[in-house]
Amino acid sequence: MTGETPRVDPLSVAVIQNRLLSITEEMGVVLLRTTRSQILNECHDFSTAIFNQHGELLAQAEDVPIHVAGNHFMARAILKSFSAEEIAAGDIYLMNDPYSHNAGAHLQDWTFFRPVFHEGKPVFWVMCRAHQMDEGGSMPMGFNPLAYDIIAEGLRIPPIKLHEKDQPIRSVVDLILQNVRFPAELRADLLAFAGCLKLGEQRLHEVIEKYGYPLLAASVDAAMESSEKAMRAEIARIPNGVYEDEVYADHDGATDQTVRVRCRITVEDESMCVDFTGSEAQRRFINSPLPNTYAGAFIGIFTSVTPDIIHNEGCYRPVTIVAPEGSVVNPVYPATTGCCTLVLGCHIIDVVMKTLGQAIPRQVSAGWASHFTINLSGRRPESGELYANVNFCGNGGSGAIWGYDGWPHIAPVNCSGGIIKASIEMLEMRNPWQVREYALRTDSAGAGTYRGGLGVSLRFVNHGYDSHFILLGDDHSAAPPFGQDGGKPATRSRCWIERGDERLPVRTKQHYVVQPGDHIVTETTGGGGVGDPLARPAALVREDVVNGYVSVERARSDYGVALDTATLALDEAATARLRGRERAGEAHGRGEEKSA
Amino acid sequence: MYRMAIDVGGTCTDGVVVDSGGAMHVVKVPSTPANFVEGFVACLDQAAEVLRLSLDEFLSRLELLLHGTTITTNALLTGAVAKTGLITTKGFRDILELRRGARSTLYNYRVTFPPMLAPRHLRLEVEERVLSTGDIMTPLREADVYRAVEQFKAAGVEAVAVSFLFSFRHPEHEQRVAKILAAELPEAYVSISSEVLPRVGEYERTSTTVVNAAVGPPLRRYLDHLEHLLRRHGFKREPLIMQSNGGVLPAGAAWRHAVGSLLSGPSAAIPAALLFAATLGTRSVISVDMGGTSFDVALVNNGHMQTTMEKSINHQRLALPMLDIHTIGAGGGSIAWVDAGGLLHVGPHSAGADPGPACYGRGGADPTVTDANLVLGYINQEHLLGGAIRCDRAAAAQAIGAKVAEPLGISVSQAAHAVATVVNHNMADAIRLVSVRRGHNPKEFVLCVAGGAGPAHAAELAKEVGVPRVLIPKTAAAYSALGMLHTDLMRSYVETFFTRLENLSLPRLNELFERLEREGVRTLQEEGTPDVAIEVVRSMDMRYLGQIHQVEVPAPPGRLTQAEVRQLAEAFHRKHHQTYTFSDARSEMEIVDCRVLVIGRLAKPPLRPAPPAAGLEAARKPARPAYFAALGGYVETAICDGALLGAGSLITGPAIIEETAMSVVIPPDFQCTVDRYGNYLLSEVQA
Repeated sequence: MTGETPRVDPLSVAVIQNRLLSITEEMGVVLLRTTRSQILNECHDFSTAIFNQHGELLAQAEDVPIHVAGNHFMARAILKSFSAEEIAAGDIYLMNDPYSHNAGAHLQDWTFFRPVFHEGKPVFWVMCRAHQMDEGGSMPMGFNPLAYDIIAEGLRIPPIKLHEKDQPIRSVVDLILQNVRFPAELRADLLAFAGCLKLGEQRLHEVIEKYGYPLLAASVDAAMESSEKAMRAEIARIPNGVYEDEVYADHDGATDQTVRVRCRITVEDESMCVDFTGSEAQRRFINSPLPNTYAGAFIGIFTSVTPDIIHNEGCYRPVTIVAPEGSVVNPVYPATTGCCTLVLGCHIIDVVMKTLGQAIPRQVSAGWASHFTINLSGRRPESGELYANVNFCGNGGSGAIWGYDGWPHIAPVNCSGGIIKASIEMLEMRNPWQVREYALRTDSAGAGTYRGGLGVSLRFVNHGYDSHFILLGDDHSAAPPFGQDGGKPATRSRCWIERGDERLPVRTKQHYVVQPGDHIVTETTGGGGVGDPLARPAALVREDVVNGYVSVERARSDYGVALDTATLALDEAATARLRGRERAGEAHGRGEEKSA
Repeated sequence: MYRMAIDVGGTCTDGVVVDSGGAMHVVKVPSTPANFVEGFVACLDQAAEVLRLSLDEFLSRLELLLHGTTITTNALLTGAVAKTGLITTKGFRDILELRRGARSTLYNYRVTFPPMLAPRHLRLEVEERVLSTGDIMTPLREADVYRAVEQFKAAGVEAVAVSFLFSFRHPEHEQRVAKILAAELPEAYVSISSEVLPRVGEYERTSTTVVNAAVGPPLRRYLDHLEHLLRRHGFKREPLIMQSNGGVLPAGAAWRHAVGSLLSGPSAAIPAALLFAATLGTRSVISVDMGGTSFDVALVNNGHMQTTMEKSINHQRLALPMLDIHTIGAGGGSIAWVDAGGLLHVGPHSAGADPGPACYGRGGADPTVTDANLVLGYINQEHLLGGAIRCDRAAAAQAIGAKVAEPLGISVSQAAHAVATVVNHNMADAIRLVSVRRGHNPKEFVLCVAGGAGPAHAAELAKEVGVPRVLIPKTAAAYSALGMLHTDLMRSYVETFFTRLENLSLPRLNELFERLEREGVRTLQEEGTPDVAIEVVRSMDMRYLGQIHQVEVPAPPGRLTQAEVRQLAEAFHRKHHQTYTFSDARSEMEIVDCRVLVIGRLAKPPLRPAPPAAGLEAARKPARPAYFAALGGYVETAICDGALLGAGSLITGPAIIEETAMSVVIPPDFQCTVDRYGNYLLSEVQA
């Protein structure tokens, strides 16, 4: 051993960094193709990553962002929980508990690790994190807004060993399987998680073999430095200053009170501090443990700078995050956290984007539709077996960003298009539910030079027995998805149950029992707009009307574009008048216009 | 007797003709986008001329005509698709646009929403509903279909896709709509999802069907016209159309399945690349093909041709098995333009063959990569397309001057160099995407550079990406056509056969396999191709109960026995273990699909050695100035006639080798040797 650091050349650094990325992608393929649980094999609610022996993130696949940007907490939780002597090749570690060294966010997300040994020492860790259809607790699927405490939300797993010497520890596995509602699926999925990690380990051994460990270690260090440098250069382009803003969630599921998330961003040359002081004291159900809060903050930042930076540990270094203990963004035991990713995860991203928008309005997205996710469970009519379904099909549209209209249906922002919505056909084949409508919702997006993406209308019919239904997310009754740089906010999301002639309004984060033949209907908001709607070319507005994205009325009121109601022909003279008047109104103070 | 392969690209039409003895001729003519058939026939004409035959004589001696077509790919890339309507189950017309709410770039929000091939106002709903069991909940309301027909008529729709929920379980509703459309809209190209992709997954099936409809009419028009002409000249067989799965289909079958001909020509690059890589003793090759309109790149790692069902072309999702080829809009005809912010772009729009680059003098006013190469002295103005087109250097310089140099405030030569540099970077990014980005080190691969425009950029590309060995086939200009001569007739059949292994009915399974095989073998025999050895390959897609993705397991021929089924189960466990590192002996298994691939093996022409070197002097042509940034601008550059270079020649840069349809540019720090087959090997000279 010479102890000398090998010289790394930029091409090796790039090739090795990309090789690690492709390993995480390949690990993801194992999960996608071999798991049995619908939320994994169809909707892709998992993530994979590689860390070094210090728990520094080296590579992560482009999976569900709200997992990904907080995974380094779990890597470090192992190192805090186990001594070097206890860690052996062939081990698999498992954890989900936010209150054990930040080893989780909500109990549904289970994280698995396997060390990769070289010359008798763990030099890398491969990881996968996956949402479980059920993890015990008082309600199927772990979502209970009224849960007394986190004990009531499900099985709490601090960092533990699940496998030793490549063998499952039977008593641990038996204990777990005895405490979940879908033990057969989980038994099989545990094989998939282990398989995914094993593949990651094999591939890393190949990489060590090929490049030699010293060059590999030096290259990943160089790659982290390179990402850090790139991130610092991006922050340097944001004007120095202190920016502050706040957003509100509709409620926490236990009360009707809105939930405030506050953010103060200080940009100083090449570093940035994101301070959530002023966010509310911890509540119920929606509380966001640190890994989730970090992930949210970084999603807001990553999407507002160049997408070319590779997201390894280096990009985290220039950013400090402050989240006061005992608040909704850093709860303490025994606060419940079941809905942290789905609710506060989105609001944390929102507040970061809204605040950053003050500094760089043309680089930051307008607000997205929050989660509006239908969770169903009940007994199958044919067998009486329990089923559960999360399909994500109700989710709305994305905010626009300068230069680009938003996309329909790719909300929520905490997934940013990384969750794949269920196929209707697969859903109907697996569950006693039928879908009657799955369509874009007219006028649901915020107007702007660049329009928000549309939300959707969805109609489900219960073909089974009495079933449990909970709508996870936020209906934007506290605030619609915001506009950016003169763009308009979007609208609200709604949900109701139709039972015969009755129409029963549905509140988010509350359990309902739906009866056979009931319809569940959701209408989601789109995203906010960016830039002055009057500057959107009239021809584009007309096209939006022809395709039913925007109504004739809203073309007129939001965009100042006059169309013939019957033929949809553009009335250029009237449009010029409307737009001229609106602009004059703006010039002479908006107050009057607004009250008109 | 002869065999010929013709690859019609956006800009050039390339042909390779081989006689029974393996003697090969390459011909190349300009493509004729207004009517691609003309270029095709011109290519046949030229081949006949080379063989000193009349067209009719040549066609009567032609035993095999293989054809790669860019019609469908071009249509998708340029948006010149048919005006397409879509009929869906009531409540589901937006499935196509909802795209399952996914986007591949999670942290990059600056992405334009993909164009809708069937725009929302042409997506119409009809009352009908089939349940997941295949039972009918709501019968088809034909009045709705007739109303849709009226709307489509009024809108001038040329193609109609039909995609109903669960049509793979109950295709009758779609079939009925197809009948009504055939009667009421007889001109329209009709595509139904239960035929295009009879598989579960409404978005993937609908998107694939809509793509099929949108590119169908252009392909149908083309093939109709082509076959008509061929018949008139006495060709009695059907041309075989190159498919994206790596095989070929007779024209009559190909037009119904238009989506299968996407990336038709580029798919033939893979057999070509493997053929040339083998001459260097490797099976790891990055194949790049720069034609007039597009740049196609594919990576073959140790002989393994990657296929994928996860493909999108121009953001349009295609769920068919295709060779994994990455395409970008970069070619000789790619137009250079300066945006409002003063940034230079090259492509993705192409001047194609008509009007073509400004230097063609056919009215093209936009500067292209070819114009830049001409201004830089890399290509010979007398020589483009083997002298078929005389180029106007002044027109090229003028176009670059007006549209690039002036807005950027630089000289014309600097502007031409900038255009070449930008297009090189675009292409290098595409190469990195299939290599570095997927964890392959380009250093370990041979870069096989082809296409009429590729060899002029080969050295700069290799330098940019870091590939040490570059091979430019002597026949680079007809690369895909050559590759086609190394393909086979291929018919693949998939039929869904949902069953738990423990409930398997052997007689039903045997009956299914036998039926598919009979059909496949008969079809291949009917296609009447001589000396074809037919092979049948069976497989089954299996999975563990609860999984939704399958593993393909080879199945033995003949009547399957219980013992063989047990072996299949073992094979499935094994393959699952090999692929995913584990298997699950406790789990029940399902058979999802049965597959039969019927292959008609075609004889492959051998590579012929080139004559030995006769000395460089013999090949020397008059020198001319060419631009090399490393040397500070234009320098007097040696020109060699490729036709007169023999095996073993060594040429050091700066120099240019001119072939009939391409120019190999050897920059100052590169050298080129001619190998025993006459192919060019470029490598950097170590300083």
